[in-house]
Amino acid sequence: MQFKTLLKVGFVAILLCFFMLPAMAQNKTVTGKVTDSRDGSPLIGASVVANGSSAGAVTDINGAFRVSVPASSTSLKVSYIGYATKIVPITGDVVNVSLDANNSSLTEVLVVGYGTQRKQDQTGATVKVSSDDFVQGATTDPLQELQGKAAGVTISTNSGDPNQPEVVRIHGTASLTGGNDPLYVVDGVAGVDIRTVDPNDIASFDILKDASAAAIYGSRASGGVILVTTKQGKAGKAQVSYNAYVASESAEHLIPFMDASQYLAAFQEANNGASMPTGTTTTSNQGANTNWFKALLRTGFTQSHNLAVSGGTNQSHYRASVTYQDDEGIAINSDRKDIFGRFNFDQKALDDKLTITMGLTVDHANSAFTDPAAWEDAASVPSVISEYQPGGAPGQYQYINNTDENNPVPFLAQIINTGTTDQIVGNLRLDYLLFPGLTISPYANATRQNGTGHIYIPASNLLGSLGDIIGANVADQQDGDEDLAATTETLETVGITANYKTTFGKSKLNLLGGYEFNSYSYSGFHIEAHDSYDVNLPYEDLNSFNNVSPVVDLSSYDNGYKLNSYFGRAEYNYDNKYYLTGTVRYDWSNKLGLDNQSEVFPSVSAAWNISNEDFMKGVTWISSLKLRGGYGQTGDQDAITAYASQLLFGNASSTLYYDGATGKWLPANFSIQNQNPGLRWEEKSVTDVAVDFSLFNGRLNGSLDVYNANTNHLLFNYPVPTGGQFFVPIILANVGSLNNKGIDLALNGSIIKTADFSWNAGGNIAINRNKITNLSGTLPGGTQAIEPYAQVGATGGLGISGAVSQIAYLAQGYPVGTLLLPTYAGINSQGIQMFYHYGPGGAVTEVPAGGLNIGTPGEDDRRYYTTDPKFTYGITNAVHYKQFDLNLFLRGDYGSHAFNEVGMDYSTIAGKVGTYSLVASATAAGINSQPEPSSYWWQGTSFLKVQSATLGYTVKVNNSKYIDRLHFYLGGNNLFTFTPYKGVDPEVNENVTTGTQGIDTRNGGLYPRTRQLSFGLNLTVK
Amino acid sequence: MKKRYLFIAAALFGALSIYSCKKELNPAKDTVVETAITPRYLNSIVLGAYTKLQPFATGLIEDAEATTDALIIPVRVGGDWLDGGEHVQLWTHTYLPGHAQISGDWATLYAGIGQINITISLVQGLPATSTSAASLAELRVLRSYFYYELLTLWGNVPYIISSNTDASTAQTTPAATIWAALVAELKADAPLLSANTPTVDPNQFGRLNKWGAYFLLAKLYLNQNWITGSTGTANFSACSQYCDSLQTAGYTLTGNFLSNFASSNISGNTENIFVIPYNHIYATGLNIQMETMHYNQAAKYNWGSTGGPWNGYCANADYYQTFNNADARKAGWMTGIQYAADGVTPLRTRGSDSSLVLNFRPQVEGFLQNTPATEYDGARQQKWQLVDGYQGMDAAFSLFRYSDVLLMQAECQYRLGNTATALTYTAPVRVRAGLGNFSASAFTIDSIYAERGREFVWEGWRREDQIRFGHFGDAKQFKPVDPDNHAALYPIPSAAISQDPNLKQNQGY
Repeated sequence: MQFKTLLKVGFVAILLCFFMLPAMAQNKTVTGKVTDSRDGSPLIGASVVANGSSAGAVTDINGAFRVSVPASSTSLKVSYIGYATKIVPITGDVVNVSLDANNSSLTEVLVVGYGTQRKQDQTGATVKVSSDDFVQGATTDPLQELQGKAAGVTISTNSGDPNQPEVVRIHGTASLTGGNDPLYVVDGVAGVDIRTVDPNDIASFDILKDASAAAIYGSRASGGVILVTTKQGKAGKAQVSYNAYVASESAEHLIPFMDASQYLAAFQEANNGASMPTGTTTTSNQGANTNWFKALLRTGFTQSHNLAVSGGTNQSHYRASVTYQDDEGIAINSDRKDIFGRFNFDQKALDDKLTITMGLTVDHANSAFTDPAAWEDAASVPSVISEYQPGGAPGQYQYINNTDENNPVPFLAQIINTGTTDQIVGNLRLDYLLFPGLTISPYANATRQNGTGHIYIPASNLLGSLGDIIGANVADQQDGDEDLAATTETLETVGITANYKTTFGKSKLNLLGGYEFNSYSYSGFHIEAHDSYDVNLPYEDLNSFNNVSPVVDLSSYDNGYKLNSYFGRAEYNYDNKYYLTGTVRYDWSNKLGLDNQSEVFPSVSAAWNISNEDFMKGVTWISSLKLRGGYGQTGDQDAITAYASQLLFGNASSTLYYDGATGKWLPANFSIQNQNPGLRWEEKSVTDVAVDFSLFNGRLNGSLDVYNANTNHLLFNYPVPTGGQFFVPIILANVGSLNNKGIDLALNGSIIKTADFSWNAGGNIAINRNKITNLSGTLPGGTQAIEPYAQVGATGGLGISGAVSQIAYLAQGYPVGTLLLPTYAGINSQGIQMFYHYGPGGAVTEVPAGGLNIGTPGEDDRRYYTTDPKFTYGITNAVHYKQFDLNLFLRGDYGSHAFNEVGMDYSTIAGKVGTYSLVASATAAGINSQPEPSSYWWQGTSFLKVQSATLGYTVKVNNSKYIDRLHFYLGGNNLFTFTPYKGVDPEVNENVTTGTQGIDTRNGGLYPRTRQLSFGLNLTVK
Repeated sequence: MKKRYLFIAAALFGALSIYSCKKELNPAKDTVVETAITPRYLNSIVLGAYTKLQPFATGLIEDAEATTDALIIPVRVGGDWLDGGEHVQLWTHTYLPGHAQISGDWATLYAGIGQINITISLVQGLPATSTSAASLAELRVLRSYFYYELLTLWGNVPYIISSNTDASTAQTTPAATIWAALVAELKADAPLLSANTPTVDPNQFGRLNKWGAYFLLAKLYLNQNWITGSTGTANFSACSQYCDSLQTAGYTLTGNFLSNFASSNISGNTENIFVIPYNHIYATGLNIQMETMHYNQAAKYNWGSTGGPWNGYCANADYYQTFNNADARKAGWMTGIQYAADGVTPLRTRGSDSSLVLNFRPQVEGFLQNTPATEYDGARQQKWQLVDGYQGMDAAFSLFRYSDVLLMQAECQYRLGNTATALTYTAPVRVRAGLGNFSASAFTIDSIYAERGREFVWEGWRREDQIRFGHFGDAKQFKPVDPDNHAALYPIPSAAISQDPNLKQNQGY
């Protein structure tokens, strides 16, 4: 409490200091022209400022500028992205400047929290990926542009579903309960859903990897921060660009299951030569040879059309962009369509002292979803069973009812499962130069997202009572069922920052202070209706459903929270050699426990620009060399939802009580959540040390980051004993800690650089070691909870349940994604899998599954197996030859593992053949014992993916009056995967919150990944 | 100029002050919820606490029956029901503290106790009226039932009766102490409860009334000796007295044994004293049909899209043969050839035996992974009315039945030496089953033991009956005689001990 007051007073004091500084002086006017040193062409939009002040201007379409500078100014600083900044003396009223193009990325401007920074001034671990460096070719999702481009940023695709988002992890998993996703800040709007951003609009990503860079975002930043900057208009003639592609999509890889001949042979072998009986039942040989995965798949057609108009004057810039994108996906009836619109505008006013920046973004997305259970069914039904009813009408699907497995095709073909998302984001920002050096910037933005969901399960005997699990009577089961949902999310932000820059002697100081208020609200409803009787318009009107039960079929919610923040940053730079940055953020939120509603997140970082030292002057082969390091703290916003700290009562839909007086079933009111008044944010403390270098005149650039991140007050659904102060067996509490440490190395080289031929190659490698250091802690009420491990997830299959299936554990000393499995010892001559049994006195014997002791972890026969990779990497190549360009991008990991649930469930022929499908490798595997989870199924998933390859051609348009650029390309995405792994894809579940990280599950893991081949064009006209 | 800056500074400072005040507000929404104290609200928490019984019909029944001779869950061909040996361990009494099913039931019971304790403190916070006094008594009686289960399964457990108790440091209370506390509390609370049977007052359906409390007292006394280590027959006299009272309450045997398990038993049943009401939509915990029926019976009962039945629970020939053909209760078993919905086409087994007709036999000829049972081994239980198309069933699951009062009375009278009186109590139960009463000459204490085995198939009493009659450690198919009697109490789950290190493990584990 004391500290908060202090902070407040300090903040105001800083502001007051700004206002007391004298500022007024006489001005003089300088004009001139800025050109490219190579060909003398004008540079449009270059920045020209009086050195040491912020008085300045930008060049116009002819490269000309007119700038009013203090009379005392002796030099101008001229800068332009991609060119070396020059400081030129003011020798008269006219100063012409030519700039040298510079490949050194150090001239880049980084976007940092609430501001920008020259790359050469950076002290934290910030990585910039600009549009030139994006993954080339057709991208349907912004994150695809970034995949593999930044060391330490893992972006994996776990499904071929076009509606499934990528999973992004920056420096590993830092939280057990959520909040591992980074915070996306798009043009200053924090908390944007990245899927609603048009990939065509993005100019750059700036990734704040470490806490010293991200700490200014405080409690929202522990997953890292990705700042997205969208394209802006440039002064000059209007530009119109059209970017389009068409692409075909197909499954990249399918698990080979037995075809009919293999299956019938396996049956004979298992039945002493007896053939599988032929017939029409679904456990007999129907004479079919169905590939169930292919029955669910198709070649998808994807297209995207983007039209953008941009331009501006010295005083204002605009850019408007509209995109239509349709990604059909590879499963029948899957789809995602997006219509994006974005308008960016800025305007200078009041003698250029005021800059008004506005943006308006809309996204309308239409999704068609597929039932993930269909893939599990496709894996389960034997190939000898027909998709269609034997002897039935043409196209009549067969009803398959062998217990668990259904005919998967009607589940995709007949169920309508769609959703829409509409998002509108508006942002407004004013930057007012109050006096030279001091800019006051109030801003506001709002995001509104409306979603709808609509599932219609039609009248069909093939779908059984799918929608009727909560229906009313058997006779109506095959009537249609409808599931309708709507959601609304609103995020409103207002804030103000004050930014003061000054120079004294060789020192530069940049001070930022700000205040921000965020309000989040969420509401929605959900209705299920059963037994439609209208055959013509079955679901358009809920009125046509006979059966709705209020207590189980209706639900709604309405909640929200607030976040109230102060933040500040001080950057000090002495002689461009020594840098020191400190940030602090104070966050308060009402969703935390009453005892812990606020937190301060500090950071400090420093850098030493060695190459600017005098003693380095003679070392010409080093263009730049910098050491930097920092420490910072961030928190995790997402793991705590509104009301998470409170004692809650509620009911569960299938646990009603019977009211004998009325004969009705009524909702009970029982405790559904323990209270935790001490609930607070997780706190991630990161130390990062790095070296950035640029060698051989900028031909070789790189950086090496070493980090150590501790997450304390780890949030976890901690198991607690019920009966006394706890009413439900888990409590969300801050217990335990985990650690991520690692190394990121990124290198970029310009190997060949001639006028006609260039070859740029880059690579990055990231090593991350994740470890749960402690799962113990203090529960509310002061109880010390000591937990060496926690079981979080399970595998499954026929005959696999109970303790033996519970293989996913969090264990002290082990990384997230650790599995607890019996150790496979080999297979005996009867084909029985044997496992190690650890007897008393250290005696180790080999036993079949029935002889294993499975009970208490640490005391039984199971051992821990980790699934994390040893390292991940990405390799890029960009080759230009005359008008041709070739881009090749590879990525992969080494040393990762996954539990192959599909292999386990479909590899035992005995007892399965005749009813269940089998993988084609089952015969060779020769396993006669029943499926048993063990280290045998813990399999290597190292991989190398040809993630993208494009070949482009730029048409010569030198003399065209209208055409600026015309470029065609052929591209491929996810072309091929090299891996020893036998599952659908080596990149398996990375989601810790589901408790199944590291398990390649049947339900979800079987969706094939997409291979995309595209043809596209980029056209810019002037 | 200066003035303007100061004004902006003042405005900023003002904004800061306004927002910093907000931190004093309540979490989340800035509203205070005031719940109206209505009868509906009182019901929703008091009757709502009964919903914590809903997991009993699967988990607890398996724990109370699968260790006995009544319920065997063999590993099936194809490895189904291997589940790491959990079910085999129950049958062979080789369970250890890590056993998942045993741990799960411990958690279920204490979740119920925690809910009852918080509900008691909620009701205590309401204005004191006769309703809330009765509600408090009813909640305590319900809690006693939960503790009764803990006593008979684990014996020595933490006895937590307040939501202020720290469950993570609670000590183990000896079984005898808990037993005494329960008896005292039940005696005090029973008079506060309604004396109406559900047929008189439908509001009492699925609740513990005065007679439910008496039934529980009768059970506590009946089992006192083995629970507390006491000796003598005083407890049987006490049990008998409560049974006497229950005979005046208005409960009677129904004419048809199976009607106690019919979907329609939710109203008008005169025999059930305390039940857990289930419904395939609203209270879905009763799914014995899924546990016991064969996979391919989905075709007959329209279970295909629910995931189909699981082919697990059954009875072996030794148990099945204790029913003679005249016994009406034998209709609860399903054996023989099973047919599709048309009633004519025989169903087949699946897997590599798919050429075989599905013909349930009481013999269980395999048990372990390497020598599994066939898909059609074991008699299946169908006395709870099967429900087409859903996993969940509709019957009210009877926990306390009037026929148990009669058989408890018979047992007490026998143990007190009144053999002839005892026979008068077995008679109605035997006659209702379509059998004659025992002949006096052949009537032994084991006659009552066997009769209980036939009357209460899979209703959750077999385990304590076996212990009380001294048969729990007996040899049975696939199991030799227990070397000692430690298995009569379950191990305290290792998960519970890790959450509360003060708990003491039972002997022998």
